[in-house]
Amino acid sequence: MSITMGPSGAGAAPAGLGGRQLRGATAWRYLAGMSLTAGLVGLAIWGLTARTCEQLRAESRIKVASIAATIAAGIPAEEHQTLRSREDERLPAYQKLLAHIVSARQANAGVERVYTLGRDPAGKRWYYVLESGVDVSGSTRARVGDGFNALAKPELSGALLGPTADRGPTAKRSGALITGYAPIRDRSGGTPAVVAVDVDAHAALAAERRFRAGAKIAYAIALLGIALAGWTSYRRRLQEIERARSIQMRLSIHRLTEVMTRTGSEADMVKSALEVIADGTGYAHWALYKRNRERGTLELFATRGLPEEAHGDLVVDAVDMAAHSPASRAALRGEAVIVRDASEIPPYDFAAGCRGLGPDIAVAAVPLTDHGETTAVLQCFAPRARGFCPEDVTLIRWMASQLALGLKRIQLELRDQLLASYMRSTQEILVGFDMDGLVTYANPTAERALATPKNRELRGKCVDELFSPSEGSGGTSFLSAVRAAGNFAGDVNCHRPDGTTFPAEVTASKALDRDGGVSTIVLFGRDVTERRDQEAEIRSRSEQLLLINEQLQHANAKFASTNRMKNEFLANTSHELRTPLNAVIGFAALIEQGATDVEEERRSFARSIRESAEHLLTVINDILDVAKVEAGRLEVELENGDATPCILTTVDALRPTAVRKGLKLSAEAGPEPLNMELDPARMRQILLNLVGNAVKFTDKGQVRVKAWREIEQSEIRIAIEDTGIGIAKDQLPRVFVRFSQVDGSYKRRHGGTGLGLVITQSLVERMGGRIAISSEGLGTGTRVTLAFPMSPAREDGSSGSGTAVAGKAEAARPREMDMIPPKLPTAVRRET
Amino acid sequence: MAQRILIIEDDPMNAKLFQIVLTRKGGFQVEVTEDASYVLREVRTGSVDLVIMDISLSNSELDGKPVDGLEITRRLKADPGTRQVPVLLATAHAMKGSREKFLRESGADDYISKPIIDSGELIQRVESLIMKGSHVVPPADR
Repeated sequence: MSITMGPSGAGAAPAGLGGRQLRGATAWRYLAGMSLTAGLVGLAIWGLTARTCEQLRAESRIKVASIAATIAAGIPAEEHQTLRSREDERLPAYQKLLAHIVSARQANAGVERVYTLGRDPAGKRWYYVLESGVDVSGSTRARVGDGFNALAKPELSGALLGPTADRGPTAKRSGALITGYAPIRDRSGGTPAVVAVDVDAHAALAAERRFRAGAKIAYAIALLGIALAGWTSYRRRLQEIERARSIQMRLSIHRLTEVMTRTGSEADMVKSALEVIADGTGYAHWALYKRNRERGTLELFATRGLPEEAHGDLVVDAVDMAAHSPASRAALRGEAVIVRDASEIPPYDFAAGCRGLGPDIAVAAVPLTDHGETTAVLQCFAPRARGFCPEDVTLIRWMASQLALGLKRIQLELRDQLLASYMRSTQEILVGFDMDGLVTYANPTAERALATPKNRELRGKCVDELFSPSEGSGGTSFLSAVRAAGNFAGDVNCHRPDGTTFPAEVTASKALDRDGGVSTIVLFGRDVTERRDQEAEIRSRSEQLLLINEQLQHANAKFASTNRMKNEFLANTSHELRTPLNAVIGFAALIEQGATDVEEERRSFARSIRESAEHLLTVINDILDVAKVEAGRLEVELENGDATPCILTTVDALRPTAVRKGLKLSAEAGPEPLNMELDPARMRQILLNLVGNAVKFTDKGQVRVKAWREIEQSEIRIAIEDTGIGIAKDQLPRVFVRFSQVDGSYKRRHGGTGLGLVITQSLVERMGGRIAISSEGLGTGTRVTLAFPMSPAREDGSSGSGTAVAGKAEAARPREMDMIPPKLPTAVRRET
Repeated sequence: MAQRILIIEDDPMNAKLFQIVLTRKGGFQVEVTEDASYVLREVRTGSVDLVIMDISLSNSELDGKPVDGLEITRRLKADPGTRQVPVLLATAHAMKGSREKFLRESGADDYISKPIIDSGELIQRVESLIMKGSHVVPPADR
């Protein structure tokens, strides 16, 4: 809006508060003043005119009186006295005196008639004596002694004292004559007669009329002048008023702005603002409602000029389509709502009994908006008689917009303060920098973390001095990383001026300004030194825990597996013991019961008992060995010797079984003695087990035993190969596990407790050797290889049987013990 | 004619013992074998009145794969032509719960654990099984 200050013409409405009322009042005042002035001037002119006319008449009277006096002086009183009746007209005195007055009439221009009046001695009666002639009216000349009505001529009595004149022509009197009187004195000083002179007053009257007309013209001119002066003055006054009002408005606007910019609480600000607005607009009664967006209602925030008890009457309701209170409607529509008579709105019954507000009130509600959205409503109450003219509404709207700005400013200020306090108090490092990487802002935390007492200022520094990406950045600087990606999130090393560094976790992102442009990048971050340490500790602890957990799981699994295997072992042991026992008990019972009388058969039963018992013994020994293995007390007595005899005797022992199964069993050893530290009995046990297994698990084909010296590793190697059922790859790792059989079911029990390999491995290890078992899978045969440390040959050369020609092929032999043993040029062969 | 009993047993001593006891004391006709497919065939012919089955078998195979006594029993009990022939499990697996476990897993009719202390009991169990089997399901071709 704009405040119109210009000269207000008759048609142009001057802007501002109560303009119409003020103008009206001023106009009336001026009209009264001008009327008064006009009256006074009129009075003055009238007085002046009357006085002037009076003077003119007085002059005429003096002139007429002096004419009368002059004539009177020419008449001797004694002669005149003699003339008393018509009979006296014959007297010469009469003629003489008549001639005198006639000539006197003729001598003085304008004199219409000259006559004399005599008075009887009693003085009660006046009578004509002389008369110059007929006057213009043509009346007959009076005769001596004719009566004269003295009562009609009050001047007569005055004329007794000296020359005088009557007032002259009046409206009542016909003709335009002025009559002058002069006494005719006798010698004694008495006045027995009077001369009267009628003088034509037409000229005097015309002069008087002219003067009066002039006076009227002058009055009219004066009135015009007054009006002009009054109008001019009125206009000047109006301008003055407008100027004063505009100054007042400007002042109030200024004061409002000042109040708005003053820091303080919102309530204080609003309170002061309402005072200023009331002052500036001249309306005393105000209320400000704030909109509660969540509830969708208006809530009374502040009032001015309204008593506390009136607050309950300031009805507001929800800001919706059904809103009926002026404030709510204004908030809903976003425009000013003027209600000329508040009682027109039935539910809105504002019984304002406050000073200055009559029973009938008008209400103006003006919304305060922020970007088109109503934030509050300013409401003004006025007596209905005063109401709100458009200028008032405009001013109120303007004030409201100022108030809205102020409220917004205070909100922004509060938000700024809040933000500033966040920035000040946060433990996050907060750094703002421009596109050139120069720091423009650093919060206290950042200063504490990144600055040193000596080098306190961070602003103006380049971010690359402060931050460097910690790893994986390919050597690019922090700033270029931010620029390239537009943002940054990750770990950086922070550098202090003293050269120390600390790790931090930061995010940097573009801060969009109002136009959506980017001029600032803002970085948030925190020192993670402590956390890194904690993380490292936690990591190491969790690793430990993981390890412990793994160990526990392992131990647990091992325990479970051991337990299961122990149960299995027990079941198998029980089975292995019970099977031969069945035969022992059964055959013993047969003998006992005398089941046969045939001696041969009885012996056969006894043999069966013995064989079964022997088997039982083997089983028991195996179990004992395993128990010893378990206890780590497997006894081995080592001596330096040749392994060849053991190999050969074992193969010989197993040959009958192999023959029974139709297998080819061969042994190759030598020619050199296989000298090593060994316990021959245990070596035989080892080989018996391994070769026995080979025979047991092979149904056709052959079992081959080979032994040789592996010179380079300084080892004695013994390999047992068969063409039997082999071992599935996934079962290989289980073969050396205690108490386990390759297959947990009952169907592959080839006799034995399944402990053989366990005992064997233990024995091999006790002799300082190693054992390896390999198979390409089921049906592909099995190969077991033993490796023992070689010991120097005995000097006595008694290396046992089976030694023959020394070979030269050692160098060509493969090193891996799992490899197929070399073809020996000469070997001790014992084949089936 | 004496009832015919088929014994599947891998241990030669025990096989010999079964044969003597059942032949001499029970008067049965006894045949010992380790050949699983033979057992299946022979029982199918209806000439077998009872099968005594060891569980752990070292040398028995079916379709080229090693089998145990439980598996052979299952096959016998799965075949309508053989299921009526009673099967007595005789095994040295005699841990707690073994009896119930084996009977459930294989569908065998009875179980006796080794060592068999009283051969009379064995004969009694065998006779009782044969009686029961012939009463409940009379062999079709007899």
